[in-house]
Amino acid sequence: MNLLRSTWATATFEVQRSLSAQRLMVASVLAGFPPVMVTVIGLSGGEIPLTDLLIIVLVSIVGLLAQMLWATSNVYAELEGKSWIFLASRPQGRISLFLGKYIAAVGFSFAVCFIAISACLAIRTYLFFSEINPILIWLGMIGSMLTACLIYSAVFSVIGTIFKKRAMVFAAGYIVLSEIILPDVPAIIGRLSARFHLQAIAAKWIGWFHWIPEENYAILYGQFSLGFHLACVGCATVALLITGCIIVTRREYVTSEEV
Amino acid sequence: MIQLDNVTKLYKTVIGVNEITLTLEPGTYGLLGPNGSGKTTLINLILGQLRPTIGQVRLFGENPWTRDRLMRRVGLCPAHEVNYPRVTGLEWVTYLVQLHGFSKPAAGKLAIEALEKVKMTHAMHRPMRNYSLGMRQRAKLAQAIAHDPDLLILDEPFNGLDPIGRNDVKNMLQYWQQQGRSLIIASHVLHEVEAVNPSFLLISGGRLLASGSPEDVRSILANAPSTLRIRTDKPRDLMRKVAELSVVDGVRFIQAGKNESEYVEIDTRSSVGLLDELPAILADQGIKIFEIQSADDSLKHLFSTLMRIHRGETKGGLE
Repeated sequence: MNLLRSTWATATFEVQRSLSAQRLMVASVLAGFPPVMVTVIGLSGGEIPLTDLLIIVLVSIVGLLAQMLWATSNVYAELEGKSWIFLASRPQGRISLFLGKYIAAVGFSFAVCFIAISACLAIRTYLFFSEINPILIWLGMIGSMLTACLIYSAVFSVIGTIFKKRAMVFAAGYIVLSEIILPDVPAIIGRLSARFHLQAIAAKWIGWFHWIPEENYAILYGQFSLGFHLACVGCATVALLITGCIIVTRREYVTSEEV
Repeated sequence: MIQLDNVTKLYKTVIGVNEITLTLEPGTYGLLGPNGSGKTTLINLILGQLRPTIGQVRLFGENPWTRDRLMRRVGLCPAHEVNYPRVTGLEWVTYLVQLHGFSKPAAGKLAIEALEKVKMTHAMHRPMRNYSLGMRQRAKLAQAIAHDPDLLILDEPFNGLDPIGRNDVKNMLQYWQQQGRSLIIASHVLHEVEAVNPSFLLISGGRLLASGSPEDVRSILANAPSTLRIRTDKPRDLMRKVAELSVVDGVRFIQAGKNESEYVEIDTRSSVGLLDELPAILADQGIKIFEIQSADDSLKHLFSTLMRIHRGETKGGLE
């Protein structure tokens, strides 16, 4: 109970203290980029399937950037800001710091994705005629992005507990290796990436089948059910959070001033 | 309350603290040492923020590294500055009290009471970017005492405080003592720690060099080799006479500039011995003295003396 209370206190405090003009500006730029690109593509004669794919790719990119910015700095920002010892010297302070900042990172990055998706789909509906209800597409994209935010924020939070410095560089390295190269390896190892499962979930929820035929879905993502993919993402997220809690409680975080 | 058993902490090849063994019963302690002497490392070991490389630490009978719930009984005011520019003092203290497991309303109430105790009520709704160094120091003190801990650990608590602030903090700490609660103050300034009349723990180079009462520390200073600087009307007469004393190792005549005052600088192996002999010399020779001062920084001198005692280069020291 105390841990939940402390975690929530950390999450709300983190959101409150982070609502600076600088951070809001960064969030606005990230959230505004996909709608601008969709407008440009739409006005230059793009088509619905291509536009939908573009929305997903662009929102995924800005979502990942937002999470890299806000999740990987969980420990480093406190060490750098000299506030680590105030938080770590509380009962379960390290765990509540880790989980609270994770919740805040999910909240921030999802807010960016939410605004970007909503704006993109409003533009898409205005520019293109589609037989599919845009609300359903919107719900599918929002659900997919929330799922992605949950797991990627966990990944980046764990990276933040391992690497005190240059955590963002390691996070970028992780994306390139595990989320860009690995899923395209035509072997079982490709299915170990988060992207493989997230794509499968997005394909189902967003209804890409209006441009990816059902039979191709099976070729791309196997015979696994939606529930299987969700369970994989959920279990991986929980495992990552437990790993992060173990690292953050068992590790000595020493500032250079103390040595 | 606190037990350290042969504790050594290494940061790779750098020694943080070296073979420290001590037992602290509830009470008031002054952890005294120069900058970089290992005070903060020792505090972090006591708090379970660091794991000893060798030895073991016990806080309230348990290992603080594995039992972080012990932190409920401890209040810490670190030396670090807080850097939450957009947050008000009340919001910050409330948040930190919440981390002890209190609900937000209860934490808010405790935070207001604590900020009142450190005389920050007037500024508690202001963003911390508008705080002076002294105000931030008071806010740090408030977050340390708000949850009513059994043990209060303060790392350089007087940093940034003006004389009024120092006096307020001193009064607050004396009140804390009178309530029978435990207190550890880490500092590199002797007279600041003396204000609460603690038992001293003297640490330097990662080693616990001595521990004892303020009288013990003064005794070390008085009986240890030191340098005294005396301003007088007859410096040459004074030099000639004190050079004959057995406690004097050397005498120098000092004049910084043409129109500057003249001083006699005396190296003595016991300042108490020298000061015992001095009145008779002054009376016999009719010498007037305008000023006597120690040429050494007292704490720096104390630690160099303790280091020499520790290395066996000179006799003396404390238990």
